[in-house]
Amino acid sequence: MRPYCSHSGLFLLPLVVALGAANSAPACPGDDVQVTVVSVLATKENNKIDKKLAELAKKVQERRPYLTGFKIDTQNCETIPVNKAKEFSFVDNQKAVVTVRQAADENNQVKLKVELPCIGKVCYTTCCGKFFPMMTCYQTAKGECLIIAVMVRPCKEK
Amino acid sequence: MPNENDYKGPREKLAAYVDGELEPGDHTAVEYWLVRDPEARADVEAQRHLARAWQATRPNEPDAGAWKAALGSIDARLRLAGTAYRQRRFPLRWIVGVAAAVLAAIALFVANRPTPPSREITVEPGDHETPFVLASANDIEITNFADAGSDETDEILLVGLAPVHEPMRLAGEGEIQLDEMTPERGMNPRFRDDPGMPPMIVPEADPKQP
Repeated sequence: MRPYCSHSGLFLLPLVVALGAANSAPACPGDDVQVTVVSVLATKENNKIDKKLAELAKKVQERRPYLTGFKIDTQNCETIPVNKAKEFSFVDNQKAVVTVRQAADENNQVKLKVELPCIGKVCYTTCCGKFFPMMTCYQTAKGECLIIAVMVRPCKEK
Repeated sequence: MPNENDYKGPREKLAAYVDGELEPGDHTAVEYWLVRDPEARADVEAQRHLARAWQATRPNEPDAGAWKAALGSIDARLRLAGTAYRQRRFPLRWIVGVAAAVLAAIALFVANRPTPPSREITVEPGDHETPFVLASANDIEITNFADAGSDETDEILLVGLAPVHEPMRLAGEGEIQLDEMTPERGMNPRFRDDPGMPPMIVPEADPKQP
């Protein structure tokens, strides 16, 4: 006797297999984004500026002139796949979580979501190879202001 | 027996004649030889002179008492040497025993030592020539550096590059687009993208103390 098969089930089977495969497929290697996160401590107690922070210090001082000293606290570089998050730790156990929402598109732009202390969640689209500074309102016991700067790579050839 | 008129034997006969060791026939023949040969007579006389000198200068033999004293001295020294040898043998035995015990302990330790997981080590032909190869800056990727200013980092790192190893370049005007921002409760951060200024997020609230 021939076994019974539902016609609708036969149609749905390829769809279920395709959806399962799409869900379990890992991201392409080219979709990984290298995220560099740098924490900077700015103070009004001294005027020593790290030479690598010269441009950042200049632009921050245009908005916060009382901050005269700038130094790098931590510097991290992690490769994060698309739709994956990575936590970064800074001074006083302050943390940030970076999620790659979209790898570099044809315009070499990457979409990120960054969760920062006393700022909240920021979703933005960034260019490649340049830092986006975000001043937090967090201040250390020494009165240093915490600034987080984020950059993505690699930059695709146009 | 040789003819008494022409007998002239070897010189050794003269020595035997002086020592009284010749047979009677030889003795007579040698005497005839000495009568006829003045050179042989002079030789015999010289040998007799030597024998007298030997008898005159011959040392006296040690008497029985001297022999006994010498034997006693030798026996005493032999006993002393045997005692000293026995005294030295005991420490030597101890040393040999301790050394054997140490060797046995080492052998047991080596035999009972847990063997590490076997690893197959392959030696490349060139390894003998360059056993210690330093990585270059391109071989090392430093992903995290904390508690060190970048100026200090440049001095600390012997090889490799820190994530920030050159002056930071900020995104310019229009290069950052804010898609969405959800501030923390009580906070009011502002996204500033003023003309001619790099975009930046700046808090409006006062700094929060730890």
